[in-house]
Amino acid sequence: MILARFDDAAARDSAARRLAEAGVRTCETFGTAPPPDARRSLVPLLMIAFGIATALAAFAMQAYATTYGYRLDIGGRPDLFWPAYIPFAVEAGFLTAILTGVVGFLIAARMPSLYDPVDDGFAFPSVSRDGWFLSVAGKHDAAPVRALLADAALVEDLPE
Amino acid sequence: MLGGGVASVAWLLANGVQVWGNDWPVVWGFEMIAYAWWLGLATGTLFVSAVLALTAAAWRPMISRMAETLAVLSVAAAGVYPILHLGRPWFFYWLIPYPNTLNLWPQFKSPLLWDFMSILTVLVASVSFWLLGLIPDMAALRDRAGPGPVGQFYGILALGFRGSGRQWRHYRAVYAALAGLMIPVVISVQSIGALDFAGGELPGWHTTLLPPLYLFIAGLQGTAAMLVLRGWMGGPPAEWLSRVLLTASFGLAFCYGMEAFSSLTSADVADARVMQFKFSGVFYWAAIVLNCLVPQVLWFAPVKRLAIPVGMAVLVGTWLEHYVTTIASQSRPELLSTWGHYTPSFWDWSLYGGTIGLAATGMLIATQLLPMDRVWGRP
Repeated sequence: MILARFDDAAARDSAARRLAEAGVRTCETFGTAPPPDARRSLVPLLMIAFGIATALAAFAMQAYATTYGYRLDIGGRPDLFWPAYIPFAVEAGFLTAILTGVVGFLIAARMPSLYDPVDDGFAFPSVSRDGWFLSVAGKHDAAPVRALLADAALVEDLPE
Repeated sequence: MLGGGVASVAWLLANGVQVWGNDWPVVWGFEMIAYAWWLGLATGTLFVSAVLALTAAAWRPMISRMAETLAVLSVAAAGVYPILHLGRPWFFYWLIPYPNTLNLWPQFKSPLLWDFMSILTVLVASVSFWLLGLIPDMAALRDRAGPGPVGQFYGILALGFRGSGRQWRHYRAVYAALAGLMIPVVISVQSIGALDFAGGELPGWHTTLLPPLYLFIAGLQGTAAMLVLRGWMGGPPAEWLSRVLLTASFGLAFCYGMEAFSSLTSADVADARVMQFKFSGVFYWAAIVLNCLVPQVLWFAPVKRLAIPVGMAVLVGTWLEHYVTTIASQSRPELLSTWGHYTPSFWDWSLYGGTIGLAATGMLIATQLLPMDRVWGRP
């Protein structure tokens, strides 16, 4: 793995573009802020989907329970009293959406990962302060990759 | 205080709900007052944090971290009561619709069951929002601490966050989605908390005014608590907090007016009697003064130094409002021969003090171990 440190985000992003144009697909950027051209995440869509599905399932569960599973005469209301099912179903939907978001984020971001090869980088702890890094993983010819990283402040070779 | 609360819980479990001041006709006392107050504080602070996240205010980080921490602790304090006030709290899991050999189902048409689900949701929501917001700052502390036990402690909490493009892409999307989701969660949870009362038939409770009234109280509590905390931690009172507090105060004033107007002009004699009973008590007028009149000092710029006392006054006022709402209607039900009064017992006060101790202790521990301001990205 090659880890390069840059002085600012613009230099890092420029190097990332050069690597992409050169066909290097295994590079990752690191920094204090999200990259400007980041693709959209699908996790919020999953949150909506699972939330709605759970709300509908909770609604159906209540309908079954009150009409067949355990019928009770509550204030003379009909067995299938759908307005009363809404709060529980809505809360169940919110709960599932939130849990989907948290779990989905961890899976999509491949977390927890308490060790990554970039952690061995000499200056990598500065990523949370003012560091802008770019890593190139996998087997690549070192010389052409290093040439594309010519404006980096520091370039290291790290074991993967 | 926390130790006293633990002792109160132990005494309660050993002797039953009789140790509280609850007695016919006031069968819901401090446990519902304190539950509603803590839930309002939790939803209010969660609302403040979520709105600040969505508006990306520059001064947001410190306030939002304190708000999220207080929300988690308030939900924990609130959640203690609905379980303990059951006659047999060890059977609380019967509220969950789990497969059982008796073929029993919970009563889904009851607001009390909706409340169970809403507490669970707000607990998960507040903890998730808090933890997700902490992840980058835990990573920053990990990097600053270096190798060693402290670095390892924060490293575990950081879950391996390194600011990679992949992590940022998903983090930003999920955090924004969660912040957006907090608003309807707050509205629904606080409304369902109000439906605990509004779903009952008692005069003064059975009104559609209660859910919006509780929402305004939550807004009032959340902003008041943040004004107090921001004042203690140092820093000028945030203009935004003052404006939201004043808006909630006006909303609550409208609710007070509508409550009195609709009760006294309706044909329901029982409603009018409850309203007259409220008028005859000190707590009702004290709540109006503290919730509606005292916040008006925030209009005056030099007086904004009084943000801490105003915030404390509002928190006391909202507690009195919950007291009046909970107790007055039960003390004056429709059947005159069942009128009664309520006197909280020592164990009511000690358990409430215990929940305050829980929140205060948790806040002190959090301020020691966790950053109350954004650390990631600071040179």
